[in-house]
Amino acid sequence: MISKTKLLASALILALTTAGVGCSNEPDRVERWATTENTNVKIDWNKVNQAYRDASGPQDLEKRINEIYEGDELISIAVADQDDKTQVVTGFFDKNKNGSVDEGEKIFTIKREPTGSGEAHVQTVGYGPYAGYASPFWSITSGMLMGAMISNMFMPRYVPMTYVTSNARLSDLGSHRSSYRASNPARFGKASKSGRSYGGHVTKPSKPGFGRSSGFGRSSGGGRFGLARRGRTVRPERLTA
Amino acid sequence: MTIRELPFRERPVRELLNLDGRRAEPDHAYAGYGWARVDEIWLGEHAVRDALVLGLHTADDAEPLGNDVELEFELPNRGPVSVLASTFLAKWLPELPKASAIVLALCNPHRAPLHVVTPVPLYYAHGDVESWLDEGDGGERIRLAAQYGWIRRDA
Repeated sequence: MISKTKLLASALILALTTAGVGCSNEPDRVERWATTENTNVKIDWNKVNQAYRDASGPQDLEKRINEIYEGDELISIAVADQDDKTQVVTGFFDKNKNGSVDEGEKIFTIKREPTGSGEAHVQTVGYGPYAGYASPFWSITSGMLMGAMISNMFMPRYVPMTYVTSNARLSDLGSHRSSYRASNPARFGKASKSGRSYGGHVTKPSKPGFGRSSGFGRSSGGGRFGLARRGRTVRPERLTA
Repeated sequence: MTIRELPFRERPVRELLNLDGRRAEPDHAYAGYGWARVDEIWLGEHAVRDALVLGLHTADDAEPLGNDVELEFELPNRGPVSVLASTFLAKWLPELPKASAIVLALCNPHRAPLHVVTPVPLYYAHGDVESWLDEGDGGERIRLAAQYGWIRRDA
């Protein structure tokens, strides 16, 4: 497996792309792509971050992440909380199936750190074949709509969490993912896995269609509730009464 | 023109959220606005029942205002106008039907906290907001996706 996912450092390509029009004033999107020796499996980091935001708990999170991942391997997760409610979720390929994160198995971490009363920020960082990806810090506050895995940190009786995907759980995840892929033929059809790439947005998590559902069969886009006005010289009249 | 004279009207929810057609991605040129009552709407993976949905827009060159958002309205036969969200909601919410929740379909690029007093929970977003129609084995659902998540402000 190690050779399968070995990174060819010489094939690292940095691609700069311009983000689509939006009401955000953030910097343009930067995409980083890398090529591996054999399987070049893409991870949609926006969806990984969203999965963490929505997950009800570790088992829900690992299910969501394995639905997102398009490669053959199953992704295990290890969750470790610290006393100050800092939480580190490690995603890894448990190649030797011993339920621990060993050398060369780690592929990402999601770190949640408190930043104040009722506030925290989160960052996702890639490792191994996904080294080079680092999400922007995204903020969470106690009023946000989030899954219990995050929102529980704001509860007064929060109990620190420790979790790792067990060998038995991997079998369940494999069965679930097979069913999920079978029910999403458009995404998991007959396309060859060779030549795919992986990477992520380094500075901006948004892109057109960031809200596409990963768990529903088919999604049609509607509208965006912002107006592209950048560069105009005349401001609109403001009504006050 | 006054704020109450804006053509902010009830519209079928699919029309309001531009979900009548089939698109691979949301239409970034969509500028429609208005309101609709819905039995259910999804904010990301969270369902909100019996909601009054307000479709509104802010411009990408709107200035950061701290605790407010500058709304912009395109109007027929004249140039666009802007209104602060707090002022707009204070004028319009008393005129709209009551529901168990109020949902703002509105980009909030500066992630401004909206300190608006409402009689029911108010939901608003951080970052871009897009509307989507999801279709699965269990039927359809109308969903609003927020770039940086949804905020619930209790009454």
